[in-house]
This record gives sequence, structure tokens and C-alpha cells, in this order.
Amino acid sequence: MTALLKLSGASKKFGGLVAVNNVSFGVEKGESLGLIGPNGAGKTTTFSILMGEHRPDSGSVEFRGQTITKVPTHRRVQMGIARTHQIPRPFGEMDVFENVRVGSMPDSVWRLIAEKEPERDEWEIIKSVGFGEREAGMLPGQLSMGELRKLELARTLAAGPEVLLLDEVFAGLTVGEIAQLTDLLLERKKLGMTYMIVSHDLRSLKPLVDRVIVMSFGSLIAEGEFDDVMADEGVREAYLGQARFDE
Amino acid sequence: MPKSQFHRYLLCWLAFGAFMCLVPLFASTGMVRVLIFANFLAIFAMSWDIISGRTGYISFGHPFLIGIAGYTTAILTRHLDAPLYVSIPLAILATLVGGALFFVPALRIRGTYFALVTLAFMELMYQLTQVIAPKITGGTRGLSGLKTIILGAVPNYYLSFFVMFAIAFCLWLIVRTRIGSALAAIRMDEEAVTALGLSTFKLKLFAFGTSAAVAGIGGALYVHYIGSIAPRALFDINFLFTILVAALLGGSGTIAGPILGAYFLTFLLEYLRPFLSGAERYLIYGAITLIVYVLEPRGLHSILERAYARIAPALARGFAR
Repeated sequence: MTALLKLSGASKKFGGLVAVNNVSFGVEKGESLGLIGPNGAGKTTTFSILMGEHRPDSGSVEFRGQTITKVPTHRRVQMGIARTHQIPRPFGEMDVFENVRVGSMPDSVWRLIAEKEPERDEWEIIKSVGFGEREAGMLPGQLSMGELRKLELARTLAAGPEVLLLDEVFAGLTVGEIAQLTDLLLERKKLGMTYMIVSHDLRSLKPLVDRVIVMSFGSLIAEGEFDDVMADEGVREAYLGQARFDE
Repeated sequence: MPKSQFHRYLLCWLAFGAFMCLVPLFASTGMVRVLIFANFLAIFAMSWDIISGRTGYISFGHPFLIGIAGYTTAILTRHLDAPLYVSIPLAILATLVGGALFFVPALRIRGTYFALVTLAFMELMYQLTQVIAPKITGGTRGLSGLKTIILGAVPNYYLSFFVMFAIAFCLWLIVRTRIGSALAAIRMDEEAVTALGLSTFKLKLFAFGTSAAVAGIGGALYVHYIGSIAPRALFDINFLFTILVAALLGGSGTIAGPILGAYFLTFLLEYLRPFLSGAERYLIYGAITLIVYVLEPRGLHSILERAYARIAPALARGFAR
């Protein structure tokens, strides 16, 4: 099967630091791929390369068989790739609803001004991440970290992505919120959405992913099904140190 | 924006327009002339606010845009004897070209660096008019005896007010659409806007183009109202800061704010004149501005909105009785 989104031989250096070193992988349509590794492994940089926020020093990015290495970020989003950030970046002076509204806007000045605003599903998206009407009118400064993550997810979903890159989406969420988000992501997966998920919360990640890739010091060190990868001694050493991963 | 809020704002605009149309019936000629300056300052402050208040790109070089319009129409009418209906549109077009030049640094830099680059634009224009082409621009003395559009305080008041009001109303209609939110989002986090699939290039180009067009209209009409143009007055740091303070004091990021600020500042400076004729009045003006800004950083517009929120329920109860 051809990969929907594919990274081939990508490398990225920041000064003397090799953040991503000759990494190649692909994610197929409808697949859910976990990207794990210790802090500083290069996971977020890999996301940034996929999104066009960082141009790789070498290697290429392909989407639906087309090379998009030089395509700017906003065009990639329009093509169907979107991401959430590790540190949520809400529009601080806009309430939750308005934040999500910006996510669904068309990329045309004329349409933004002249077109009647379509009856979009912002409310549906806001509700699906667990917000009620009260939260929809709140400013980001009034939200907890967990709620900010939900806002980030809702805003990104509003852009209508086909491939969604989730960076530490579970960090700061309660057990109940994680369960709610897991249900939402699984539901969207059934509808055909493709995911790449970076998470340190392996328990929450496990039910969501079909496959996992592991990075360490910028390189890809393992790839396979969740349990197989977790049983790999090299992964345990790189990712978990001496501690054991207990189910 | 909810429909009820839209109708409330629309009613405010209409009431403001109607009231200002009646002003010459009871105001002295002196006050009418003061209001003409306030109208032009409001146009310049709105123009500044489209770039700086909306998108967060603080411009210190707005007189550059106003100067392009002023000098273009002044040179065309003075040296080529062009009619005003030709020179003014050409001046606005020239300002749009200037706006495109202004836009170039915004592609790569923002914050303090962008502000300083725009300040350099203003200085460049100052030098250009004085040193490089003094025969065309009139050098340090500028150009005087320019054609006037209409004569008399009251006709000029109506002209300046209708132009200012039309610009304000059109801008209000535009920014209440989704583009207003998109531009505000750029101010808050430009990279996050890009990450949502919007081209900030297009949005900023629109903001800079609109701002330049408004500055062009104001600049071209202003020089034909006062009948002269001189670099020292136009590219003066006081003139620049009056524009900035009008927008900030009135309420940056709003349409009514720069108008409120412009009226407040113009009247403040004018009514301080009998007591303090020299530059000391700028001290008082600075102090008052500082106090208002410290008390309410979002400006006079916010103070009025809060006041309205307090009295509206009481008014509604009164009408109900």
C-alpha cells in the first residue's frame, strides 16, 4: 500500500545538534501511527518537517505521492495535513468559539469578506472535545492546561485535516478527559482520519495506534506493533532507561 | 457578531453621523475648523490602526504613506496643472505602491525591528523631498498655494466628515466579517494562523493595502485643504505620535476608537492653547494621555462601552415603564 504521508531520508541540524538524522517512514490512509522516544529524540522536529515549519537539510516529504518538501505550511494544511502543538497556542483575546472559528476559515480574502459565513460544525467540534456552552464563551486565559489542549485540538479539527499530527495531546488531561479524547479520536479514525501521535503517555497511546515508531537522538531505532516495539531491548534502554515498562 | 449587537452598532453609527451633520448649525467657525483637523487625524489614525492595531505590526513611518499621497497630488497640480479629479486618484494609487514597499519588510520582520524600519521609511521620504529632488518638491519650504477642493469652513467640514465617516463605516463593515478575526489572530500568533491553513501573506497584504489607501485618501485631501505641504510638518515626530496616540488613546483594534481619540486629542490641544500657547501643552496632553492609558489600556472606546453596559439596563427599564 502506498503511504499517504511519507518522510524519506530526512535530516535536520540546528547548529551542531543533529535533531533528525536520516529518518524515513510513512503513514497509510486510515492508519494511526505512534511516534515515541525520550525527550530530545527529535519527534517534534519531525512533525515540524512534515508540516513545513522546518525545511529539512536533506530528504523529502511526500503527500499522496506528491513531493511537498518546499510547499509552505498553510498550503499543506489546505492539502489536508494539520498539527497540534506541544505547548498550546490559542489566540489569547478570542474566546473558545472564535478560536475554533478561525480554524475553519477559508484562505481567501474575498471569501472572508463577501461570503456569507456557512453554517459550519464549529459547535459540533467544540462539543466533541468535551466543551459546553459555558466554556465556548471563555477566554484561553480562563482555561486549564487540559482545556487548552482540547481547544488546540478543536481548532485543528476545524481546519478539516485528513492527516492529523498530535503532539503530546494527552499531557495535562485528567483520566476522564483522556478517555473522552480517545473515544473522539477512535470515532474519527473509523471515519477515515489518519493520525500520527507523539505522546509520553504510553498507556493512553496504546489503544489508539496501529503501529509505533521509536526515535532516539534524532534517529529511528525501531518500528512495529506496540507490544513488539515495547518488548525490544534497544527501545527499553533508549526510551525507558533501566526501568521496565509494566502494563 | 450577533444581530442585535450589529443593529445597536449600526444605530450608533447613524446617530453619530446625524449629530455631526448638525454640528455646523450651532458651532462657531473656529470649532468647525478644529473639527476638520480632527476628521483628518481620525482618517490617519484609522489608517495606522488597520496595520498596527489589527495585525500588530507597529508602524512608526505612517507619515511616509501620507507624504506620498500629499506630494503626488501637490506636484501633479502644481507642476503639471493636473485637475484634482486626476491628481487625487493618482495620489491614492501612488500611496498603494508605497504601501507595497512598506509591506516588504513585514514579510520577514516584526516587532521593534519592523517599527524601526518603518521609521527609516519616513526619514527616507524626508531626505528625498529635501535633498534629492528639491526642485520638484520645493525642498525645505515645500509647496504652497495649492488648489483647494472647496472654499469655506463649513463645506470643508462636510467634505472631511463625509470622507472620514464613509471610510470608518466601510472599515467597520469589513472588519465585522471574518477577516476582522483573521487579522486579529495575526496580531495574537501569526504562526498559529499559518498552522490553520491561512496565508498570512494575503491577509497582511490586504491590511497594508487598505491602510495605504486610507492614508492616501486622507493625505491627498489634507494638503488640498490646507493648501500647502512642507516636509518639516509632515515628517515630524510630533505628527507621527499624534496619529499613534489618537489610535491608542481612543482604542486600538477598533474603528470607533481612533475617531474618539482623534476628536479627544484635537480638542484637548486646542482648548489648552489659550492657557498654554507653547509646547508646554504637550506636557499636559502627555500627562492626560498617560493617565487615561494607565486607567484603561484599551482606551476611551472601552470606557464608553463599559459605561454603556452599566446604564443600558437602567435605560431599558425606563423605556419599559
